[in-house]
Amino acid sequence: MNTILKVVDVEKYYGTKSNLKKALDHIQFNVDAGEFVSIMGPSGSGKTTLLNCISTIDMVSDGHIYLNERDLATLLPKEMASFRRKNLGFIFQDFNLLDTLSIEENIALPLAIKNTPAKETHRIVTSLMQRLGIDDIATKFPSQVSGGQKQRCACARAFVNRPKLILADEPTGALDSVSAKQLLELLTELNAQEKATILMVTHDPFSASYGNRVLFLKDGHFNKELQKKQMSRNEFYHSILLEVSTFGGEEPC
Amino acid sequence: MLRKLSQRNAKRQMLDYIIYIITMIITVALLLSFNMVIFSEEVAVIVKEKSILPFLILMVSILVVLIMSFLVKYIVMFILKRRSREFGLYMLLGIENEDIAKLFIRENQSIYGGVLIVGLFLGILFYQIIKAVICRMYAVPFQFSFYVSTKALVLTLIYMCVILFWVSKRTKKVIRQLNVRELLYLDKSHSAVKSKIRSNLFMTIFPMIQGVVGIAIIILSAFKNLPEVVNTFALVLLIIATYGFFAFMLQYFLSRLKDVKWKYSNNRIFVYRQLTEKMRCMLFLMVGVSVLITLALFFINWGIYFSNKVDKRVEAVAFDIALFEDDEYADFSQYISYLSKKNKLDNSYEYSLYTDFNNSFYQETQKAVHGKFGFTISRTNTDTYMSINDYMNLRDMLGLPAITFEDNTYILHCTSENVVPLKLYVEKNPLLLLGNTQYQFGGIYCEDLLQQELYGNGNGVLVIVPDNAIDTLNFQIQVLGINTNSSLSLSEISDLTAFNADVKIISKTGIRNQSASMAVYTVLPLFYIAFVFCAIACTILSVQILSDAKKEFRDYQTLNYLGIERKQQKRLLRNQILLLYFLPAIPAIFINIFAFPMMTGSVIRDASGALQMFFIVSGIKQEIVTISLFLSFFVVYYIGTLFIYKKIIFKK
Repeated sequence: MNTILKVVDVEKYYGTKSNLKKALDHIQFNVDAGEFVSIMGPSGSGKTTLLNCISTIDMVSDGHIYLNERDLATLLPKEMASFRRKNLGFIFQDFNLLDTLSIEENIALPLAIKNTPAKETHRIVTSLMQRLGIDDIATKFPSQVSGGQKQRCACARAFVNRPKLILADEPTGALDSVSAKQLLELLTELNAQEKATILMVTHDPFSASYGNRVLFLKDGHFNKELQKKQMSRNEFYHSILLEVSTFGGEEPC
Repeated sequence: MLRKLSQRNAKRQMLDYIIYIITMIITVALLLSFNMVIFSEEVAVIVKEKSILPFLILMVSILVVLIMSFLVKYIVMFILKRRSREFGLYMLLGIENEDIAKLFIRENQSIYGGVLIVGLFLGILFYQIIKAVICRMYAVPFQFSFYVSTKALVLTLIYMCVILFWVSKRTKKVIRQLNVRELLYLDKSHSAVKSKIRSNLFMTIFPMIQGVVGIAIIILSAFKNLPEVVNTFALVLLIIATYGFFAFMLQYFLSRLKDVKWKYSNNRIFVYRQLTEKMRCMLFLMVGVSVLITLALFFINWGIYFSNKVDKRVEAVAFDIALFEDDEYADFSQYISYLSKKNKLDNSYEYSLYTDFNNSFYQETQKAVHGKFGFTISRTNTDTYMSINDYMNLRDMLGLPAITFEDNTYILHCTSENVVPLKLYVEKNPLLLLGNTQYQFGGIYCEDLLQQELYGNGNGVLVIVPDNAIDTLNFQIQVLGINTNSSLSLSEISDLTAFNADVKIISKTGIRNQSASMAVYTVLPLFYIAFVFCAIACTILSVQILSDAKKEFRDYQTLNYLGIERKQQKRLLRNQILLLYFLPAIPAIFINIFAFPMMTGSVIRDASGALQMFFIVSGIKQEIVTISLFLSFFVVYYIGTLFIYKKIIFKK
């Protein structure tokens, strides 16, 4: 398998010398192309810090992160935006859609930024919206659609560029259970059919169970890794719950 | 404790206060500088007569205090909304409303102190600019002096205290009535209250039609002398059409955003979506700001127009002094000897003017529209004649180029406005019959030759005939034209007036003084109001634009994640603010360019009906000065707004 993301012995510290807080402690893992990996952990475990480091928004204190064989530490500040544009897609808990743009325009934005020809942009966006079942709300604005639809739109925006890696930060955090399930199924579908590589950060065992592999993060380092392998999603979910109860952190619902 | 907290807060919140500070500094500077005009002894020496200027400035100042009080309250409320969560937190911690109000007001007061110092200093400098304008109108040499009037200073401080007192009282009242919940959600309630205006086709097209009708009336008014009420109606239509402009622009941008090719190119989608959203929310506000700018531009235009009129009228006098007496055998020798003694005499020429008691040429000059502020006063309404010999000598004396003159011809010398109607007249009536001799038309000249005052070389037109033709004419008036080697003072002119009551004196000094006194009463208050209106328009725009900055912070963060470089983000922001800021100026400038010539009546038309807008040359020059003055003011606010916006959006 081709490795897309390689995180090697990453450490991240915050604060001053006298008051140093270790957010990430010798983190090491790989994500292969076409994988759907979940990172689970309670609040303050370092999930978002790790995601920010991978997304070039934050810098590691030590260690290396390779994305598509490029060491992120070697990126110049002026290269970072272009690197994100070409390689990464983002899904946020609170959608981060631009309120002034219609659903269609929000999805088209990454392509417009890349100066993709307008007709090509329109064609790609239209077909993607049809694929994700949001073509009927194309001309609507974010304030006129439901949370589930907003997150579908955010998914489409993250995927429209065909990035090497999609980073999802608690994507179901602001959704009701039905919408959350629909969104996770959509992510699974994108992963299975479109070979999208997804790294999802969550504290919810149910959401994590949609990944092929779950990494358990606690106090800045990985405690455990669970592989789905031949398990059904339900079996995988229960094994995650068991793991959570064994290692502490989030209590099973 | 609270005092320390408020001082620290004032320092930390400096960014929020930039627009407030700019507006307050401008207010203090304007109030002080114009107050100094009232109390300045230097100005009193220049403007000798007892004038109504102090009264006018006082009236305008009171108006400024009233307007500025509301404006300052508007900004303070904006700042309060921005900091409502902080105050809400204080309230949760148990600090009384009264104490929070005191804290907020104390904060404002400490900023007020700094503002006063800078504003007073700038006011002293700005006074020098006003003095320079007055000196220019009176043709008095300008000298920079660091003058400070205590009375003006005290009056300005009183005005500022009134503003501060009123605003503090209002703020206290508002904070007293707030509860924790209201304070915690005040910033959110702002956006909820803001209603979006949905513009429809009718609301777009109807005002646009009014605009077209307004322009049509203005063009028609150039051909036909339409009554003032119709012209005013046209102006009102144009101002109403301002709404149409914004509604049209909104519709236009929205229609462009339907074009896939257009919107997905050059990152337009983000800028124009943000712009149309803002325009929807701020449509009426933009109309209001645009009307304010329109008025400010009119006032600046009028100010420059009246100021220039002084120079134009003085230049038209041609001689430094001209003496007129009804007696053919008038003796001007004592005037010559007086000036010789004073070493002022450069050269002089005495000549006679004649008339045939007809008024054919004079009648033609009356057909031209001289402009509402043209000086067409004269004691004669018959045609005035001069011999070619005198005319040639006068041209020589005034340094005008020599001309050729053929026998049996006559030439006309008129003011520039009368050239076209007189040319048309002589094309139809080329012959002039004097006695038994007919004279052919030999040419027309229009240099300045004292033709616009009560006494002069004809009222707008002078007929020059061969010397022998003079015998057929009747004596009208004896004239002595004098050029001096330095300008005469008003007291010297009054010395000359005392020699002989029958001799009428027209002098450049006298005309300048008379004209400048009239102009200064209008020019200064006009500029004063114009600057205040500019400050109001800019402040409202800045505050409104900045009110959404926090919300847009999140949008720009999203753009950052999506991979738009910081440099490009800054460019997008600059374009977005530029469009929002300068869009209201477009209809204002357009209305001024069209309506101002109509208002001054400086459009002249010839008998064939062709338009001859004074505007084409001198008008464009004046409009450039007006727009530059306005833009220099506007750019200060634009830069300030952009600076704050960038700080909010791109903070780490």
